[in-house]
Amino acid sequence: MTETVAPEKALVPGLAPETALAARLMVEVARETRRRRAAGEVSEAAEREVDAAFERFAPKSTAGSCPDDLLAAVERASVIDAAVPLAGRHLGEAASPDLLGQADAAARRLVRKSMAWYVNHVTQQSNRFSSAEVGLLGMLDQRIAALETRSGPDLQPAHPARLARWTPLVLELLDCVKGRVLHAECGDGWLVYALVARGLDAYGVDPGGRVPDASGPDASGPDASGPDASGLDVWSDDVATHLGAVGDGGLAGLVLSGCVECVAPVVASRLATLARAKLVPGGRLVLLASKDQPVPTPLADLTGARSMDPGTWRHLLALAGFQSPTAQLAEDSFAITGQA
Amino acid sequence: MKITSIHQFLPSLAPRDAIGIHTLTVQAILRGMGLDSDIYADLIHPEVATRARPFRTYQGAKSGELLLYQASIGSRVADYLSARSEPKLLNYHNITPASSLARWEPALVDELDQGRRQLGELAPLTVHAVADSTFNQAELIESGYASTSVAPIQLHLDEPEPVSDGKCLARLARAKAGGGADLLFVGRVVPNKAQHDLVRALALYRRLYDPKARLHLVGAPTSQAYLHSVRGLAERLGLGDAVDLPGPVSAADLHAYYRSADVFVCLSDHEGFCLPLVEAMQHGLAIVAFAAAAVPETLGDAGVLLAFKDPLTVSVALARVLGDAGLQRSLSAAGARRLDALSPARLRAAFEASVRQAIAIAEGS
Repeated sequence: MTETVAPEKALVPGLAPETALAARLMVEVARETRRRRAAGEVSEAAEREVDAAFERFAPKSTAGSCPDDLLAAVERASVIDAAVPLAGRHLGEAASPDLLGQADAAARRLVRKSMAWYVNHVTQQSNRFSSAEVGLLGMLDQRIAALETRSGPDLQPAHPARLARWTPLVLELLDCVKGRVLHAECGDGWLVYALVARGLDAYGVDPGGRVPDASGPDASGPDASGPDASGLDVWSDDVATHLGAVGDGGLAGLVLSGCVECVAPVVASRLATLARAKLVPGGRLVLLASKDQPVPTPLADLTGARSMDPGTWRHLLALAGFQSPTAQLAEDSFAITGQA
Repeated sequence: MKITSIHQFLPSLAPRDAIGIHTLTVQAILRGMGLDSDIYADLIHPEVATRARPFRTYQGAKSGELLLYQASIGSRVADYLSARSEPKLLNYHNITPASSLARWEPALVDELDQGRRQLGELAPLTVHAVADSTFNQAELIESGYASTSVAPIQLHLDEPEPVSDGKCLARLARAKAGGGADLLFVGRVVPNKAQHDLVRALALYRRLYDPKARLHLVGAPTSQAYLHSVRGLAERLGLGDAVDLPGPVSAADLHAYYRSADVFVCLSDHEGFCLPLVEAMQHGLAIVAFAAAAVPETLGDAGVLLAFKDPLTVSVALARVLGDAGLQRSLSAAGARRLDALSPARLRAAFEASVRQAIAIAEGS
């Protein structure tokens, strides 16, 4: 691939010019990292395995966990078993065989039976409630799955071909940026290819982990003499996770596609805020999304499975601190540009 | 109204805690400026029992008093101050985002949320707020503080090295004799300091560059659940012997860790200042750090700042630093220059300037 080294100051914004040593090191590290990643020295499967290993030791949460696993964990934890603490023998054992010992044992048995009655009563009520809760969660899960099925093919994420029309716009807008440019979700790297061909320090992230093959991406850039597609810097990762791991101001340009389709407003708002934080002041954002067909049923609104209106995106981006977000519309998709 | 007293309030005063040291130093600064200054706290460590009083014993009602609150977590002291009429000055040391702990320590979330809420409530009642870093200053402005300035936390860089029994240093030296680099991070074991990312990076660094490298994660666990996960991950990756989690250590042992380390690595997602970076500079250590929150500001150009912290990027940076003794010397020298900016005299001058600014506003209002 073409080795394009970002200007030193751009890697960590705000760096004073006299910090040449630190800046040079950062460039060297970035270059060597790209070389090793492109050479396949780090297996993405192994990285995912490490992430999964950590998750196994981490407490369950709603973030980043499989809903089915969470539901199963809730079900397992819903039943309280009072038998173990009540089955202990110590409470009923006689301390000694004499009269005092027998009286002591009888008193202990009485306490134990009273406790058993009370604890079992409370436990049964708690288990009944938990069982109803688990049943309700399961039913909601099934209903959500049914709604997602009913939402139909019109609400699926846009195919890259639908967005390829915006390539010239992206290239024009990002042409002047100095520093790393990220395309999230990049698919097979169709836009990363075009950006690298233009001489930009671009890389991509895609949760599908579709590593580009040597023959080039589906929608390759206009420059036929572009870089070797097999050397494209494409990571397999969730977009939000990856952006969260990028240092603030670590990007000079950001293209969002795929991950902006069919998201709930609150998720979109978080994404806009995250994008703003990761862009260097003056950095450029391009958001590429498909335009929705009419939603089949009002119920589908509840699934959050609709692409948002360009106007809503502009509003959210402005709230996140982007200057004058501008929308450009096509028949089946739109692009929104903004400056951090 | 002429300001003649500035009394400090804080949730807890402890002798070796960073905010405790800062508070005691600030008292000396304020008294040096000719002001009356007492310390009032909710929890007072027995070692400093004579230096502070319970916050409810504050008499108040004297004209010319400014109340300085050291804000770092939710506390009933903040509510107490909110209800008082005296003009206030706030010194902000950052509050860990509750979201980073929600999954791990739900019980702590309320305390952190309370801290954020109180920060907002104190904003309209505060004449001026001082932040440890511009990163913290941005949070103050976002919380509605109209007048702010930056003065780093007061550090005691000129203190003599504590006397050690040498056992810790000897243990670390024995391990080093077997080969392999010693990577060090110092800080509470808590998700926002991302010790698990350090373990991940160590695994790859050992595979690609140095199979005998070790990682020392020194600090008390704020989250036992997170500590368990970090340990579990290390075991799962076959790093059980390579990852050292000694918990909190004495000042002497901490020096031993710094002295025996080859590089200081920080991959924290959130730091309001990051005092251990300064300690690493004091010990002449090369530093590799993820550029998040206040880390770039504290580190300056005295280390390698990473825009990404995936294991490969970190491993490459570590290899670059550890494989070049000349570079380590250069980074160490850069650290020494950076320390000049954090000398006690400069820190004191910065804080005095902020206090004067606050007094001018209070006297003018």
